Amino acid sequence: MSDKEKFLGEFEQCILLSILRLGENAYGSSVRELLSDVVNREVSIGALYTTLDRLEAKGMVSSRIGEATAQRGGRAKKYFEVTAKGLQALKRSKQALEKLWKGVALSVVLQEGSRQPC
Amino acid sequence: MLNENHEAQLPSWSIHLLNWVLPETLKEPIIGDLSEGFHSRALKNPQQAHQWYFNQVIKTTFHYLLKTKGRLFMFLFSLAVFVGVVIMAMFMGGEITDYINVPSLIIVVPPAIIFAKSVSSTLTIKEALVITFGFKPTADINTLKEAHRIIDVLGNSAMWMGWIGVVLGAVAMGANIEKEVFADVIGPATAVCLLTLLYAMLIKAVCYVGCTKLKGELER
Repeated sequence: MSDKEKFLGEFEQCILLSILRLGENAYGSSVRELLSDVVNREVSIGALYTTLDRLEAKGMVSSRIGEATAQRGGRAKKYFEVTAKGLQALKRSKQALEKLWKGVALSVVLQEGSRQPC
Repeated sequence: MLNENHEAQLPSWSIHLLNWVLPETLKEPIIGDLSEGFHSRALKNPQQAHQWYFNQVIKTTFHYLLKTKGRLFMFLFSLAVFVGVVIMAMFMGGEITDYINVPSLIIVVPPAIIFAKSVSSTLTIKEALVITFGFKPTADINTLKEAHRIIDVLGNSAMWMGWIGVVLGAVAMGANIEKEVFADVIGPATAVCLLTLLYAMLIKAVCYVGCTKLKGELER
């Protein structure tokens, strides 16, 4: 496995975690809404599908075509699921970040000029 | 019916644009997701729904434009460069009107079109050009082969007619120019005679690029 495949980008991690949180209801629109509601990240549907496609090509997610609803103009949903390889990659990224965060304390500059740890 | 009712509220240009720009496998989920997002927002605030939908369509289009239509843009860019260089060379060589000659055009263009028309019964030249220039993409191998044959014959027959025009012009000059006016007439007469070849070469060059593009699509 190459280094490129071993480690996930930040957006890839966000998407994989969203899929895990949504469970069986993980498809383009629901992932996009979750990212917007939970982490306040607005993404275009095109950018989202490009990353999902890349993750699928890497074998980290699998997809299946679902049902078509009236609200979708009769078009089918594409559901996503995180594979074992995707879970492994997520774990590895989490562990790597936890190791790096150890002993690091960020501080923010407040309006008054005082520093406070966050 | 379901499909028609709901997409009727979405601007039709956006559906056409997305169908044109999106990869085949993503048309269904992406247009469906956008439609769903639009309708859920439209219940609360129709104006905001339209704005959101418009932004999403534009962003998604730009996102996929170079990925799916990159080759088409390079093809059109190469044609624009080709036409630009030819026109610039014409301006540098003198008056642009020196390069316009209707009889030469008549010798080259109509016969080439007729020859190209005669090789295919399923596609017209217009359809073949539309497919070649990528405005109506198709994955059907037979259609691509037909388009390739038409464009190939169009370019080759134009080239043959161009050479025939040159030879006809040379024969006409040889037979008609008299000794007294030879020096005055030979220059302009040769120029007109060579214009048939110029027109033929321009058509052949465009057809060559088109054929190469179609060949690439056939191989893929």
